[in-house]
Amino acid sequence: MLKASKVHFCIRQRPIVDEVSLELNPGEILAVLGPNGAGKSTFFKILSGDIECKHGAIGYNGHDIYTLKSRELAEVRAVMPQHTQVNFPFTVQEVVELGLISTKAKDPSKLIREVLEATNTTHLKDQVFNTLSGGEKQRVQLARVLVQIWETKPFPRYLLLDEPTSSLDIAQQHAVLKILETLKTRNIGILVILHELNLAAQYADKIALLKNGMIAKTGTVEDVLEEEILAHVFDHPIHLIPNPATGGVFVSSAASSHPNIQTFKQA
Amino acid sequence: MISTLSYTKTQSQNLILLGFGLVLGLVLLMSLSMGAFSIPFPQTLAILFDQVGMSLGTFEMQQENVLLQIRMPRVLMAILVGGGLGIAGAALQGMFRNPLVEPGLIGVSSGSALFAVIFMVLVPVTASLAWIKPIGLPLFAFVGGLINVLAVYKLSKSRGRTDAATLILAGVAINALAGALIGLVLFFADDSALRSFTFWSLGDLGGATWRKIPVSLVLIAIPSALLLFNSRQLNALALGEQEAFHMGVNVQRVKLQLLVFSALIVGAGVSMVGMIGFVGLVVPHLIRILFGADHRLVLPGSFLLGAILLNFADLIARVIVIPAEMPIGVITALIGAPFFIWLIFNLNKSKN
Amino acid sequence: MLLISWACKAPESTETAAPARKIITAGGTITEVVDALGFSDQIIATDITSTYPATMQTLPSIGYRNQIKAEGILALGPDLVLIEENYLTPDVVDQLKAAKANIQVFKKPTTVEGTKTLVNEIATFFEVPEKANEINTALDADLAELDTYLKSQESRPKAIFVMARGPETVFVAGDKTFATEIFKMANLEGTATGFDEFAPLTPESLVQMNPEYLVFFESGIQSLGGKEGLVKIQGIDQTIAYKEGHIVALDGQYLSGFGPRVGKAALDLAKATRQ
Repeated sequence: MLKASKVHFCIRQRPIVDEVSLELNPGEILAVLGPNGAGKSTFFKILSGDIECKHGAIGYNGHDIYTLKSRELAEVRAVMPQHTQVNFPFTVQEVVELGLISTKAKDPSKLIREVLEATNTTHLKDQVFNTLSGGEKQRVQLARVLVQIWETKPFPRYLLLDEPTSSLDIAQQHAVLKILETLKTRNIGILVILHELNLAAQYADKIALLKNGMIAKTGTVEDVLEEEILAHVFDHPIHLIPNPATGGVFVSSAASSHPNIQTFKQA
Repeated sequence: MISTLSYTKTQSQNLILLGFGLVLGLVLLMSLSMGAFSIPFPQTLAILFDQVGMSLGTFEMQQENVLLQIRMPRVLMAILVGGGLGIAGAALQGMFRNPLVEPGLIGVSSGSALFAVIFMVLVPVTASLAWIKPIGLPLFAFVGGLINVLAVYKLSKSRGRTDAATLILAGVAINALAGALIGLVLFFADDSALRSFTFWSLGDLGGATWRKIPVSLVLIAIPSALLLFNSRQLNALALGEQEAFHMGVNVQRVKLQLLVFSALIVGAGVSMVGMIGFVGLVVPHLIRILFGADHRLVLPGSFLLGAILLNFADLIARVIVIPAEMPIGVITALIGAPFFIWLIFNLNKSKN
Repeated sequence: MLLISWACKAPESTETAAPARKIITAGGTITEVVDALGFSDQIIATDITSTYPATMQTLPSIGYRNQIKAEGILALGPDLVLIEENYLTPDVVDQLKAAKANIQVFKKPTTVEGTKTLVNEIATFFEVPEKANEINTALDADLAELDTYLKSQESRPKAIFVMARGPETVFVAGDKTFATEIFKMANLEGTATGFDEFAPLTPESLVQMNPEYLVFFESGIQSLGGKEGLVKIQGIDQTIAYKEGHIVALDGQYLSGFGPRVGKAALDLAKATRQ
């Protein structure tokens, strides 16, 4: 389990992350949602180990994050960045191989082959990374991040993603999230910051809503997705409409709902 | 990109390095056989083979003396300094994530030269202290190079990244300062042992003697080898410091090693032969253009190609205006500056 | 003895016991002394500062100061290399020694005593001590003539020495320079004092020193474009020397070399500053 307990982080006396507690278990996708300035990115960086936080605790499989060396941390979590700039002419293969740098894999070429397949990037293997399109680059980065935690281990691993779909078009967004779904069976817990509420509704198992640095609500998708709490968090009326395609809900931020469409209201 | 159809990556990398080694051997032979003092090629070979106990013909004692006492240390020095500049350039480019970086541009060279000059002024050449000079001088120069590169690094950091434009500007500023201070020290100190301003600013391999080789070997070859151990880490760093950390690299430790070893190499080199520019810029680029960006090839390849290039440049410097010599910095600039301009042109082209 | 042992040292030599030696000299004064001792026809090459005798300039040149390289010297095949101390870079001297070149180092004289010592040293080296006596005796005669002249003169003119290499590079000689010594010999009052070595000549300090005579090297005047070009030096028109046309120019090696002609040079200087 990846456990955050009462994480509190201030910048100049102002709490950016305000006593946030969270749990992520392997085999589930936890979507972190919230408006801009809610503290999502800061909290994310604290979870990944980029920012050091003195108040509260972060534990990976029971180990406090600050007792782990960077190599040990890399064995238990991988981080997918929002943007990456590669200034040298590396090939796709070389970029993906980098994911294995701190792990002593028994059969590296097999792992690489598998992640390339999983991200549908095998055909790009020998191309120079910088010549790829935005969507292709994102998938290659995902492959690199995956290969770091791809090998099956006796302990759970965690994948943290910060808005991995923000610059992708619709097909690519779903492609990435479908890949994340397949990770659930590999003893991996996934925490993903998403901007698009409907993607969260469709793919996440759990949701954490953040507003002003505080958790507004956490729980399963059904528990969290309700109109009043969503409207409060996003400062905008939200209507939930049944989604016939998925069997779940469709989140609409239109100003008022059509009178003929049934909506969910808080009881 | 070279295709690696029937070989594994490591095998093809090793083949390439072997190829460079062979070219270096050829260039070595060429450098040894040409110079102001004329030695016919058969005699050159005879002298060399004689060193390993094989007799290939007769030669004169003076020929042997010139070849072994004057040319050999010079060629070796060119290998060490050229190779060192190449690999240090590659390491610094990787560390700053910027292919436009080289020791001269970011102030390592001028800082080393400044401290070398200060050391020569402050430490009198008395008999009792004579042993300090061969080791103390390059080490003090290293301190100067390190201070300079740290200053440039601090100046160019904004929000955790090194912005290219600020980096170059910081380098220009620090270089200007160091250059002015060098001029100042040379102006006031009246000691012919300080060597001229052109020695420091354009470089000169003419003072290479066997006595300088052991120190150069230790202070250049060893840090170069240690840099090689950071090849994979450099690859990871290329994705960004944060990414490297996420992948488990101890970023602070790697950066420190890269900076210290590069400064040591450049400091030692500059204290021996003055500032020679463009080698650290051109060589890693050529390797990347030809063979890709994997630092496991770029680092050792840059050492070998740097050694080849500097030997070749020194050969030209020695034979083009016999019996005088062209300052070697002129030759490397004539080769390197057009290449630099082409680089900038290409970078702009790829941005548009 | 030395000559014979030399001849036997060269392994492939086919020459006889008294060979025509091949000498390279580095340093104008060394060349002058070698010439005074009668061996200048054995000099095969020399450096740029060796301007006396004039025939030396027709020989191949090895260069200037720290631009001289070891291979360049050795390529000319000398048997003997005579150098002035601190003239070549120490590394080049090391290289020549490592290459087993026959190299002898001599101190450059800065006083008349130094001149005599140098003459004795080189003469001893060439095994012609009697020639040294000749030269030094002639030098003493020159000095006596100088002394006589000075005793007949009451004045002690104020002078400074200006080193010029083009109008942008103008220096004045202070204490502990050759100028200090030669001025003393010519009984001149050097008004550029209070600092050692050479300092850039500023217009204010020039006016402050206000010399009655300005002494240059001939090459220095040339680099300024002749006497007409002197006006380019800022402040020079405020000096007595310039107003009265008291500009003295002498050959560089002659004036500053402290070679066998130093006595004559001092006398020329003394006379030129009392006209």
